[in-house]
Amino acid sequence: MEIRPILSTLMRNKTGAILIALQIALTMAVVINAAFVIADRRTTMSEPTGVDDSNLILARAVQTDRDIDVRSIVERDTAALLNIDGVQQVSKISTVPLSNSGSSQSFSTSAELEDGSWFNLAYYQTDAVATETLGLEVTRGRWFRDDEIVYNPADGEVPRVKVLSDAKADEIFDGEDPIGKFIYTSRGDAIEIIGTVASVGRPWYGWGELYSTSFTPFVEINFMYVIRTAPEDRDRLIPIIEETLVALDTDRLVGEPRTHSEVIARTYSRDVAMNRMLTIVMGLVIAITALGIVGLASFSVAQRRRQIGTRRAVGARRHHILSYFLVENWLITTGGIVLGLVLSFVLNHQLVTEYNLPKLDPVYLPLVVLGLWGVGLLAAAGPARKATGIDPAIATRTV
Amino acid sequence: MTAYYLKLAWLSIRKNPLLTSLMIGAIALGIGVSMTTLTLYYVMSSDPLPQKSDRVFAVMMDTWNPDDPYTELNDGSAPPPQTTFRDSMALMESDIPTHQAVMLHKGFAARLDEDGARPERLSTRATYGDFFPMFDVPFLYGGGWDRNADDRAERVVVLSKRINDKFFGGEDSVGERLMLDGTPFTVVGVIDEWRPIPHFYDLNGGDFDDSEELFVPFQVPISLEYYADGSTNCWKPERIESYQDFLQSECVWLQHWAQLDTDAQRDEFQSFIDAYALDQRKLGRFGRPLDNRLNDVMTWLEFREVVSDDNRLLMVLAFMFLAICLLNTIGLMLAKFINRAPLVGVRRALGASRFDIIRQHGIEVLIIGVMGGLAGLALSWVGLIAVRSWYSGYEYLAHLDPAMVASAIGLAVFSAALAGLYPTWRISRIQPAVHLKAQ
Repeated sequence: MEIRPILSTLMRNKTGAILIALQIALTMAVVINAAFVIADRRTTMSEPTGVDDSNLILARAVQTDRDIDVRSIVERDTAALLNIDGVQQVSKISTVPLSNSGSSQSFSTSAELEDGSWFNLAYYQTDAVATETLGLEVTRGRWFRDDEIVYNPADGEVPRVKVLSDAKADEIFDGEDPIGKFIYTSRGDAIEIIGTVASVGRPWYGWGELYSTSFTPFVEINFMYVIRTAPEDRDRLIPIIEETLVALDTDRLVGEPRTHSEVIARTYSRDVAMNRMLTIVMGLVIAITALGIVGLASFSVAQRRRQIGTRRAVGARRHHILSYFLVENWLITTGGIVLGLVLSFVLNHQLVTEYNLPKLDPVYLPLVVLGLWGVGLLAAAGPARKATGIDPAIATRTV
Repeated sequence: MTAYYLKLAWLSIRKNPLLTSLMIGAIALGIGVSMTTLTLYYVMSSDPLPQKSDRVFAVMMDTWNPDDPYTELNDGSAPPPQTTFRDSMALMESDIPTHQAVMLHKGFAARLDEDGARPERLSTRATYGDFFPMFDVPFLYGGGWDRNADDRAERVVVLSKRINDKFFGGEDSVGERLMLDGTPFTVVGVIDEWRPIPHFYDLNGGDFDDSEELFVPFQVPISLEYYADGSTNCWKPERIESYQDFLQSECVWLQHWAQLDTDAQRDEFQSFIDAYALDQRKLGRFGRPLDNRLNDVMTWLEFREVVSDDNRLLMVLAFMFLAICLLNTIGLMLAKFINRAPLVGVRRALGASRFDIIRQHGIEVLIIGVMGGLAGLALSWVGLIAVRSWYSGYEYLAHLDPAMVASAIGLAVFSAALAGLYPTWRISRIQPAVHLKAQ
C-alpha cells in the first residue's frame, strides 16, 4: 500500500483529519487516566480483610443501664443466639475490619518508654472463640483461653496478653519469634504476645497501616455480637437474630443486624460510585468518538465519490479502495494517539500534583493504543465498505 | 426573514435526521455528563450559612505533638480540627465572641416515659445554648436554653421536627418529658426543618449528614462521663485512668465555634487565644509554634476538603468529555454544511450576501444547540438520579435547581455556537462559481 498519496490527500483537506485526531487524543487522555483511577480503587477494594466477612452478621445490643453484670448478659445472649438454628458460632467483638469505627493504641518495644520505638496498633477486643467465629488462622503460639477474657467493668483490670497480626509481629520483632515477648503501654504495663494470626485488616479505611492490628481478650458493655452462619442461612437469620436479642431485654437498644459484607460495601460505596461514573464516562467517550469517525468518514466518502469512481474506472480493485480508506483512517488515528500520549501524561502529571493520584503506570498504554486502533478501524470499516460499492460509471457520467 | 431561515433550518434537519441526531446526541451527552458533575460540585461547595458564614468561625488550637505535626491532612503543619476539653472550657470563659459553643456528637436511647415501647437510638448534639442563635436555627415551638442551663447541666432537650412528629404527633411539646438513657428530660423547644449542607459544624460523620434529632446541654454527657461518638485523637502517651484524666488529657475530640461580628472582635479573640496558649506553655503544653486559627465557614470547608479530589477529578474529565463532544459536533456540522455547498453556491449567485448565509446557518446551529441542551438536561436529570442512588448520604443533595437548569441550556447553546462557528464561517466563504460549474 502506498502511503504517500494518502498523506498528500490528507494534507489537502486537513480540517476533518485534525478534528478526528484531536478527538482521539482527548479520548485517550480521558480513557487512560480514568482506567488508571479505576484500577487503583479496585486494588484497594480487593485488599483482603483477613476475616471470613461474607459469612458474618453483626448485631449491636446497647445496654443503657451501666450497673449490670456484663458477663451474665453476654453469656445469656450468646446462649440464645447459638440456639438459633443455622448459627454456627457467636463472639463479642468491639469492631470489625472496614467498619470505619475503631480504636488504636500506642505501644513501645521497651519498658523504658524513652528507649523503645513506638508504634500504633489498632485493636479488636474479643473472646476465646473468635478464631472460629471470624475464621482466623492462628499461625504461631495460641489464641486466648476462656479464663484470660477480662469482663469490664466487673473484673476491673486490663488484659495482659495480646495476639498480633502476622505482618505486624514480624515488623515489630524484626522477624524473630514474637511468642513470649512483651510490648509496653504508655502507662508502662507489660503485655505479653501469646500468638499471631494470618494478617487481619484495620477497622477503618484509608488511614494507617493496613495490617497493623491486634486482638485483646476483653469484653465490655455496648459491644457488638458477630455471628457466623452458613452462606445459605445468612440473610434469612437477620430478622430472627434481631427478634431474639430484643426478646431477651426490651429495655436495651438493639440495632438492626447487618451482614459484614454490607458494612464493607458501605465503606467502599464512594469508590464504587466513582468507578461507575468513570466507567460510564469512558464508555460514552469511546462511543462518541467512534460515532464521530463514522460520521466524518461517511462524509469524506460522499465527497470523493467521483475520485473513487475514477480510480475504479482506471483499474483499482475494490480492496484498493477499502484499504485506502482504512489506511487513511489508521494514519489519522495514529496521529491522534501520538498526541494523546503526550496529553495523557500531561493530564496525569496535573492529577498527580493536584489530587494526590498515583503516577500513571505505563502498563495500560499498549492496551489503550491497541483498543483505539481497533475502534478507529471498526468505525471506518462501514463507510469504507460503502465506498467500495461506488460504481465506476459515476466517474464517466459527470465528467 | 428569520422565520424563513427557521423553516430552512427545520427542512435541513429533517433532510438529514441521522447526522442531525448524532450532533444533538453529542451535545446532549456532553452537557449531560458535565452538568451532572457540575451540579455535584456546586452543591458540595455551597455555603451552609449564607447570611453569616463570614462571621462564624471554627476555632482551632495547635495543641499537637511538638515533634510531629497533626498529619491527617495534606498541609502537614496545620493544627488539629478539633479541640481538647480543657482548652475549650478555658475559651468558653471569654465573653469576646457574640456567641460561642463547644459541641460533641453522641447517640442517646430515647423513649417516651414508661410507654413500654422499645427505646430508639437518636443522634444527639450536646452543645451550648449559643448554638441556636449562632447558626440561625429556626424554631417551631419554644427555643434553646440559656447559660444557666449550660452551667448546671440541666436535663433539657430540643427536638427535631421529625422526632416531635413521631413522639408528640407534631403538637407543641414544650414542657413534655422525654426519657434519654433512662433519665427524664424536659422539652424546651422544637426546631423546624433545618439541614445545613454540608454538615459544616461537625465533619466527623459524613460531610453531608442530616442534622441531629436531639440537642442537649454540653455538660449533660460530660456529667454522665460519656465519650463522644465522633472521632477522638490523642498524640501524647499519658496516663488516662479515669474520666477526669481524659478531660484533662491532650486528646482532641470537640468541635468549637464562635461568632465574631467585627474584625476588631475577631482580632481580640485571636489575641485572647494566643495569650492563653502562651500562658499554657508555662505548664509545658502548646509545644508547637503558635498556630491557633479562626477559620470562617467557607475557609473551614475548604480546609477540611469537603469537596473531595474525586469530585474535582470528575469535573476535569467531564469537561474534557464535553470538549470531545464539541469537536465531534464541529466535524459533523462541517460535513453537513459542506455537503450543501452547491445549494449555497446557488443562493449566493442569486444574490444572498455572505451575512445571509451566516444567519441561515447560525439559526440552524442554535436550534441544534437548544435541542441538545434540552436533551442534555434530561440526561443530567437521569445522571443525578443515578448519583443519588450510588452514594449513600447524597439523597438530599444533587438536585437540579433553576440556576443549574438555566446554566445547562446556556452551556449547550454556547457550546453549539462555538461548535458552529467554524463550519458556518467555512460555508459562508465558498466560491459560488466553483459549485455552479459542477452542477
